[in-house]
Parts: sequence; C-alpha cells; structure tokens
Amino acid sequence: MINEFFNPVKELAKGLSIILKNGLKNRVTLKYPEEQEKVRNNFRGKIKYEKDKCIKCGNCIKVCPAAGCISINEYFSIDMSQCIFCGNCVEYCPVNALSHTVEYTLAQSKKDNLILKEEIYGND
Amino acid sequence: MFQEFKTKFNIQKEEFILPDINKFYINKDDLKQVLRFLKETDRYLFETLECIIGKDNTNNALELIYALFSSKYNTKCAVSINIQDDFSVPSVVEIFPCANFDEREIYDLLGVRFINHPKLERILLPSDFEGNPLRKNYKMQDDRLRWNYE
Amino acid sequence: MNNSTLKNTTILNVGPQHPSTHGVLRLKCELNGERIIKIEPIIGYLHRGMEKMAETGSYLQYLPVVDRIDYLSGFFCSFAYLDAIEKLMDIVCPLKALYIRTITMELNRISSHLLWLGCYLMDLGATSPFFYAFIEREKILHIFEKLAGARMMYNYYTLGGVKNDINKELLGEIKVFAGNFNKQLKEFEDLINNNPIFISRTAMIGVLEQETAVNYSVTGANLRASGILKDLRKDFPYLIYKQIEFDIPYKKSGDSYSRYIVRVKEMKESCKIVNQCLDWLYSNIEDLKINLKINTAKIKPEGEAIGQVESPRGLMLCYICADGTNKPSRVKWRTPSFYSVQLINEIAKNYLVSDLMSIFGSLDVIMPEVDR
Repeated sequence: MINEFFNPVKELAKGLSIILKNGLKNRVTLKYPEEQEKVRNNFRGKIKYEKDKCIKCGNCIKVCPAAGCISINEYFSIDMSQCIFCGNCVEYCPVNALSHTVEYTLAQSKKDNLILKEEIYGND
Repeated sequence: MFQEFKTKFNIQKEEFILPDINKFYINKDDLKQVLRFLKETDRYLFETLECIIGKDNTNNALELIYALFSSKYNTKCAVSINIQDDFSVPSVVEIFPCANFDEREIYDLLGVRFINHPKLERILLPSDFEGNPLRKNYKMQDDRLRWNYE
Repeated sequence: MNNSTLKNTTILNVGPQHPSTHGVLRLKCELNGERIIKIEPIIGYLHRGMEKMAETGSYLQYLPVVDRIDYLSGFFCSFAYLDAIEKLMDIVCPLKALYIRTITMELNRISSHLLWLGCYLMDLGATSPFFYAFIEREKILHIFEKLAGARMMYNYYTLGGVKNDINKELLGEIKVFAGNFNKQLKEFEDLINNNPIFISRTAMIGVLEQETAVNYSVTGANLRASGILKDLRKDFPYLIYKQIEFDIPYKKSGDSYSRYIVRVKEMKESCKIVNQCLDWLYSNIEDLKINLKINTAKIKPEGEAIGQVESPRGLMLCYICADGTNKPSRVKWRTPSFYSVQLINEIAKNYLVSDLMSIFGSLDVIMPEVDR
C-alpha cells in the first residue's frame, strides 16, 4: 500500500533529476543576429552569373522547374521570387557560367529589387 | 494462380504493370461481384484496397484502376474498368470502407459520379469551383508555362 | 435553428488554425456534454496541384519538386519516383550508390520520428523533450548539409545513382553520431516511459482493432502497434535489405501508448542498420562508380510502372503512365496520411474532448501529404 504511493513519486523524481542535469550544460542556441550560422562550402545559395563565359545556348531555361524564372532577351535575368534553389541550372550549364554563393539572407522591401539583371549584349 | 478467376468472369484482356502485377479488364456492371469474389474466397483473400487510380485516356474515355493486396499469399493485383459517354459508376464503400475519400477525390478532379455514396461532395478544391482539372481538355488559366516543347 | 439544438448536442469547431493539428485541418466535432459522438474531418486547405504539375513539364523538371510532397521525408518521395522510372527503362544502380541511398534514408527516418516525438509531447503539455529532440535532429541536418548542399529539400538522387560522392571525414561523423544516439535514447526512455502522468493520459486510449485497421487500409507503425506484422522491407525487399539483419518491433494492444513504444524501438533498429552499412562503406571506399551518367533531360520511356517504399508514416506508392514522349501522361501518389485521417471517426467515439489531441497526435498525420 505504501509502495503504491512511493513508486510514482520515485519515477517523477528520476525525471526531474535528468532535467536538472541537462539544465547545467552549455547553451546550444545562437544569439541571432549577432552570431550567425556558418554554412559549408557547397551550400546552395544565391546564383552568380559570369558574362564572359556565357554562350547563350538556353540550357538553363530548359531544365528550370519554376515557371518564368530565367529568361534571356536583352538582359539575362533571374527572378529570385520564383527560384527554388534546386541547382539544376548550375549543373547543366556546359561552360560553368553559373555558380552558387553562400548568401541566404535575401529579403528586400520592394518586389522589383528581387529580379537580378545583367546585360549580355553590352559594350566590350 | 488466376486461372479459376479468369474462367469464372470470362476475362479477355490482360496486361502487366511493372514489376509483375497483373491487370485485368472487366465490365462496369460486374464490378461489385468481382471485388466481393476476390475478397471472400479462400483461394485469393485480397482484403486490402490500396488505392483507386483515375486516368484520362484521350477521346473522351476514362479508366479506373483498383489496386488490391493479399497478405496471406503476399501478392498484388489490379482490376480496371473503362468508362465512356456515361460517367457514373457503382460505389464500393460497403465492401471496402477506405474508398470513401478516394471516390470523393475522383469526383472532384475527374468528374465521375458514384451511385450510393454516403456523401458525394468536393473535397480538395473549394465548393464553388467549376471544371475538372485532371482532364486533358481543361484550359489552364496561367499564361506563364514552363519551357516544355521538344 | 440547426439540427443539434433539437437533439441536445453541441457542435465544436477545431478550426483550421490550431497549434496541435500539425498543419491546416478542420475537425467538426459533435458533443454530448463532454463525450464525443461524431467527428468529421474537412481537408483541402493545402492543395497545390502536384499531380497536374507533372503533366506540364518533362521528367527532369519534376524531379526537384517531388521532395516537397512530404517535406519531412524528402529522400523517400524521391526514391519512389525514381524507382518507377528505373523499372520502365530497365536500369540497375551500382552497389556503392545503393548503400549510400540506404544510409541517407534511414537517417531521414530517425529525424522524422524525432520531430514527431518532440511535437507529440508538447501537445500533451511537456515542453522539455521538444528541445532535447531538436538538439539531436540538428546534428543529422548538419550531416545532410555537408553531403547534399541543403538542409531539407535535397535534390540529391538522380537516375542511376546519387550526385556527389562521400568521403572518409563524413563517414567518421556519421559513426560518432550513431555511437552516441543509443545513450540519448536511453535518457528519453528514463524520462518518459514510466512517468505516471504520461501513462494515465495515453494507456488504453484510442484503441484500434485489427479488423478496422485492415478495412481502412492502414499501414506502417499504426498497424504494427495493433498486432499485425507487415513491413515492406521484409515482404518485397528493395535496395539491399536482403543482406542486412534487423528486427521489426510490434505490440498487441493497439492504444496510443503502444504506438509510442513501437516508434521509439524503430529508431533503435534504424541505428543498427546504419552501423552495418558503415562497415561495408569503410572497406570499399575506393570504389569509384556512384552513378551511370545518364542524361535525364532526353529520356522517353513507355509503359506503366509502380514504385513503392516504406516511409516513416506507412506505405508510399507512385504510379507513372508513360506514352513515349518526354512528358509523363499521369502520375499518381498514394500517401499514407490520407488514409489515417479517415480513422479519427472510428477510434475517437465515446472518449472525452480532452483526449482528442492525444489520440490524433499519436497517429502521426502530416497535412502536405494529405492534400498534395
């Protein structure tokens, strides 16, 4: 009869001791935005375009899953509001003109600032 | 294994879904008898209905495939019916209760009516939507399509 | 004047915005005092048109989108889609790629179960296990970031193998994680298993009979907690599961407590599988072939095929019908949560309203899988 009372209390005390032991360990969270997460080298972030290497073949448009993301008219432009950061265009470019950087904080206040444009028919 | 089943219901056409699943074509009117036979006889015991697949072949013909699984003999098989011109099919909710949401989804996206279903309403799209999106002649309302011609 | 006031019952709306329903789900409950009489789930708030999207682009353009059908288990959805295409075109992957695929899938199963554990206990009111589970899950996501380049939407499998190779440093990190994991699980069990408050809230609540489970086509851990032993990795083995030794846990009572015990034991078995695959990879690390270099942009298969996989929530199936052009004609997904949502009306009758979340949380339902 006394055992029935003390058994649950013993289990609760064992649980509390585990929590107290974990409470004395080091902090595992980061104080954002003063300390930011350092990502690895092959992280898929914002895309960089190099004008000298591009041969205007159109492979990147053929493999992109998003509708209306990449387009080549007078400018080469990528719409960052539609991009899903999958990496297909980087992988299928035959001359390696596209590559990933490690930036991931890309919020802007106007929607027009999200479209990245580069001239491809400029002055040499 | 399926010899007795094929002679009893007089099945002419049979195909394969990879890997090694038999697919039998039957008439629309025999549907409930065939499913009850496959569920209850000791030789087959297909007691689980895994899913119902609706397909739109062209020329105004639809096809429904019922995928079954038997745990005692560890095999799968499929039963398929062809619908043309008159889009109404008897419902199988009394035999397999899990077909409830499946049949509502096919009514919603393909436009097939099921007779004797307890509550036939739109399930995934809003209730005032017009049209059936999974048909091939449904016109998409967004002009920005992906690059998709060969 | 609606129907309920004539019958002396009340209607309670557990609305689409709720912190405990794991997504957007609406439950319309009819109550008599505090006893539940009938529940009706209303779904469709997260419908994105995944099946129609496959018909407007090619096979390669659909591949990064497949990870998002169930974002907590992206490797499983990718594998089901690629398995169906590989059967249509008669392709066999090299051996090293099969071992890498198995290790990533088992680590993904552990991380999905850890998130379920943290959120289920937070629904019941305990806030500490949520943090402990997420500390462990963060270590797995660091490993995936070094391997595939992203934390959650991987895009790492390709037709005939995997994209990047694995090196010795990364194998060392996985070995360190797998060695520590059993000790952390033992800490979870000491904290939760015999806790009197947890036992009185989950034992003999939400009992699922064997016949109901077979009629409603339930698969996965929900079925094994009711006594029926069925697992796709033993019945129709895929990848390399024939050569690995592991057991399948099951229990006979069918209540919420058994579903919790079965999932914790599954995590231990996954750790065993990871250790065995690591031993093979350490001795064959110089093997160079990881994929068959197939140009996925130019394939044109023909026929019908099914790819199936045992995901953390049940059996997932992908049906592809191809007609010889470069776009699929029909892609259909059979997801396990769609069939678990129908169960809530059968097993929650005659319990109190405060037991509703403890029953629903133990079924492990995820809304993007239900609505696609």
